[in-house]
Amino acid sequence: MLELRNVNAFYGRAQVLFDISLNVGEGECVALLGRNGAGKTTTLLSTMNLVTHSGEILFKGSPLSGRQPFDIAKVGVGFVPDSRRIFPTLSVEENLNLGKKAGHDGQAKWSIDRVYEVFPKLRQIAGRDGGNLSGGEQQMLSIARALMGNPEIVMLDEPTEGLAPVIVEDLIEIIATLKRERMTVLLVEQNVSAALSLAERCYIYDHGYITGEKTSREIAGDDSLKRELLGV
Amino acid sequence: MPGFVEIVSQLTNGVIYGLILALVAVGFSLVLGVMGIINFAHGLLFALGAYLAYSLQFHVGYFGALVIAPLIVGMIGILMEFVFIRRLYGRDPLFVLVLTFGVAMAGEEIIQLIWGKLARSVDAPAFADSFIDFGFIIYSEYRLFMAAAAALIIGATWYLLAKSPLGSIIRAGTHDPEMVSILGMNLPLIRTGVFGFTALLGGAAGVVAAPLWSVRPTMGLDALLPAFLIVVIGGMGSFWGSVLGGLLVGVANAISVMFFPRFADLTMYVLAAVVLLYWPRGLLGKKSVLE
Ligand SMILES: Nc1ncnc2c1ncn2[C@@H]1O[C@H](COP(=O)(O)OP(=O)(O)O)[C@@H](O)[C@H]1O
Ligand SMILES: [Mg+2]
Repeated sequence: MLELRNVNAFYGRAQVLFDISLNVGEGECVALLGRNGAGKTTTLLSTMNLVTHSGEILFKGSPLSGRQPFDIAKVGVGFVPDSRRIFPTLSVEENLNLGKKAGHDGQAKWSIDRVYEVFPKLRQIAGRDGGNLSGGEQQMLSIARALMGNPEIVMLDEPTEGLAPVIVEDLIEIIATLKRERMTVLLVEQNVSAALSLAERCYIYDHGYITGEKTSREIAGDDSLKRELLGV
Repeated sequence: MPGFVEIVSQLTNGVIYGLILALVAVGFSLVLGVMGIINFAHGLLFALGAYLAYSLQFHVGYFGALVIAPLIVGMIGILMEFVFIRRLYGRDPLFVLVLTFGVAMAGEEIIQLIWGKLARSVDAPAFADSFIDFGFIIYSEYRLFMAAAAALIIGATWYLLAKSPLGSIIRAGTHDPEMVSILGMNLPLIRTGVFGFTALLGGAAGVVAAPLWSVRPTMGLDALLPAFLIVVIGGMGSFWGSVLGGLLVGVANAISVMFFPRFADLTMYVLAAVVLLYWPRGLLGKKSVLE
């Protein structure tokens, strides 16, 4: 569904991604693992065409490079950035409605009612201002808002970062629900155990390079790799 | 000492002046918020509104002009964004400032070419051409009509921004335009639309002001500088801040005209300086202008 071929990315003159190639199949959940600063976020930003890059990025076989971010969203790429980027002066429901659009083929599987079923908490706080939410609520809202656009793939950048363990569990359950509904997921996670429990496959990042591609089972059985990924 | 009647009448004039400036300031502030552009050409749109009211009054009357002129100015705004302003997004603020100032100057020249250097006058709408006797004061109807028109446009704009889906896109865009586009909304189109809308507002303010002010080529800058100060006083990105700032500048101006006429032109600068000393982000603002 999503494929990157030999992608290099730059901030100004500094190159931060080197020859990145990866693919995510339909209905698959793939994780990008690696230390802080390894280039995971930049990979997602390149896909949305928010950073300068070279190489090929294909979505369902057609190139995304050169398209505007809104156009990339329209063809079915949902992106939940790491800082969540909730609109603070809009209510929870207004935030959700802002994300609303039909999927590429006009279908709209995710309506506001469907979203509230999966995120019951958001229904309770529907009228509250986006600027008045806890970290967990913001994260739920950011994911829910992306789903309102009926994407075919969602890219989640560190959804569990900085959240209390109970909320992390809720989020993992929500992402698992998405998987059961055959949503394609590209997940960036520092929480290795969360990533391994959700993803079938992982790419391992190091200083802007992909240094390995492994199944979650392989990583789970490799204590030294796990320790290295945890950065200890 | 001015008498009671003069005081009431001057204060009312101040409120009207303030409401008109607030209309200009709201548009200026929206462009600053959504596009990050300090648009010194915004006053030009105000002037165009007034000049179009002048020319159109002979064909469609004042009320016709009140409807048609803002629409024309709105379209001019869309064109202006399309050929010029959109090249400035994300550029150095100083660069933007110099270029939009250049457009304002060029526009003034064009206005002079079309309408000449001399001031033009726009007649008050015929129906409101008389005076109302409040017993203690006699007040010209058209001034009250202008105040009502300005307040109505301000109210409608607030409703649009605060309550409509379009308004939530604009408010979202003020905070984080990139995220708006990540959600699949056509950001360039939204920006063009917002610019056109602020042009329409500026044009409407010009039509409302036309019978009260002398319509002359420099009136764009005459409105823009106070509008800029009003945004600073009221607070960046705050709608009611702009309205409050406009009223304060209008009333302060009226008071100084009565008591210190020689310093009247200084009043708004002093007011802005005092406000900034105590409220660095403006009265109702959450961020300072260049944050
Ligand atoms: N806006 C930026 N400007 C310059 N360098 C950046 C910027 N954002 C990230 N970087 C650099 O790019 C590299 C990759 O960052 P990032 O993709 O955010 O890594 P990760 O998401 O894996 O932590 C890091 O060295 C980081 O310092
Ligand atoms: Mg990151």
